[in-house]
Amino acid sequence: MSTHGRTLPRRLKRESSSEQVAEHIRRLIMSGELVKGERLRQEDLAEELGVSRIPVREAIIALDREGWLDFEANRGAHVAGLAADDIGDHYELRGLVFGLLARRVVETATDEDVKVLSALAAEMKRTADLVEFAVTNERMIRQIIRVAASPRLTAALLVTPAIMHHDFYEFVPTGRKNQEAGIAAFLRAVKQRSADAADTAMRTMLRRQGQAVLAAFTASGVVGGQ
Amino acid sequence: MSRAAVRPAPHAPLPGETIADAVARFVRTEIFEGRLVGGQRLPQDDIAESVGVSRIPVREAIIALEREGWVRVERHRGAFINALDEQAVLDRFALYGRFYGFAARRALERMSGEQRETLRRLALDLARPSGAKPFERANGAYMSTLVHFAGSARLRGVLRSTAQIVPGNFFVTVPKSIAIQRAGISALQAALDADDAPAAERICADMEHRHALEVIAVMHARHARAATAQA
Repeated sequence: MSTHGRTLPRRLKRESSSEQVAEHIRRLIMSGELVKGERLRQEDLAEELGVSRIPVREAIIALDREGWLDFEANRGAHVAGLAADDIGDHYELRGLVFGLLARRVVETATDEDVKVLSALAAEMKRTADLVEFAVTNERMIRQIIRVAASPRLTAALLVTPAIMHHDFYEFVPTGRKNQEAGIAAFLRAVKQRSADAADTAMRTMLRRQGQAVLAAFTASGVVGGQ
Repeated sequence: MSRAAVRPAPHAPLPGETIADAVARFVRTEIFEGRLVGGQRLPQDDIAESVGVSRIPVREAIIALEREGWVRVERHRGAFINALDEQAVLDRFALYGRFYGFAARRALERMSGEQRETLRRLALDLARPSGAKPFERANGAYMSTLVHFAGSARLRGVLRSTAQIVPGNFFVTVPKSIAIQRAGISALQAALDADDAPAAERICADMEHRHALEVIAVMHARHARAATAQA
């Protein structure tokens, strides 16, 4: 798997094929290539992606649980629709989950945890490469999830997933600035042991990312055209 | 888990449920009742046998259960039960509190005058004294209408996976929650009438936190009973 002509670092967890199919479909919906009510053609998707029907079916079940598709046994899978409001709502909801994770981090982080988080934030600041920034940011998020140690909140992130991965910061011009500022505010709050401030930092960061994503999609002409 | 196989249990899908939904419901009950415990590998063959289905709907149920937080999937190793401990219950209800607070905020932004009136009427139905079953119906009507008026496809999707932690009728299993919900919805409706979104969010968070504490008390009682039964 390569992105922008380079191979991703080995430490990046390889996703299962059903996760890759799910990400592909989410993106088709987000970008407006699949529109509300449209029926998903499982055979075509399987052929297009070079996978069997099984991961396509598993991806559809996952996306039904996440609310992107409506899947019924006799009717097949239909796109649940996407409007400008949905993008804002998606990031707002992701922010609510991250806010709770941030609270748990403040409650449980040891000095050593804070050091690790700070080192990752410094690494994010240093890199000039946007893909490397995205990869380091993912490590940061995994670290936050590890320290928060809440399987229930982690599961809620599966339902409010990141919509793009390694090319997010190329697609969303102000994305990096938002992310750096948000993470910095979060870390300050963790060091001050303020759960409220950590919560607010995450919610604000994700709300801003939602606005930035919406602006990027609007600029590319796929959402909010009417 | 071996006990599950001998329980006389009708695990057939309910109306509107797929076979995978029925499997997921079975697994949730097993975890809530303490027959499947945190850290344990999900015994997929036993479950298929207990419910009387093949492995395929069990695999499909796992996809849903992972998103609901009941299990975590480790690649090439299988699915493992997440502990249903106090922290899990608190986190679950904290999520509910936030999602319903979000519903209230969006509903205030997006609902029409007529819709406001509908919601007010449904709140009055909840204020009347009634048993657990009618209360659950009235509560379901109020909450689903609130979510509908929030007009957010993403919220509906997220709530689809925020499945109930307590199987069956919540208010039958956790009777003290009726008073909490009744007082909470009354306060929530007052905040909506006053156009006060921050208050509505606080009320939802507080109400769900109280439910969490009641659920924890019920779970402790059940697990104590299950331990006695196994001894």
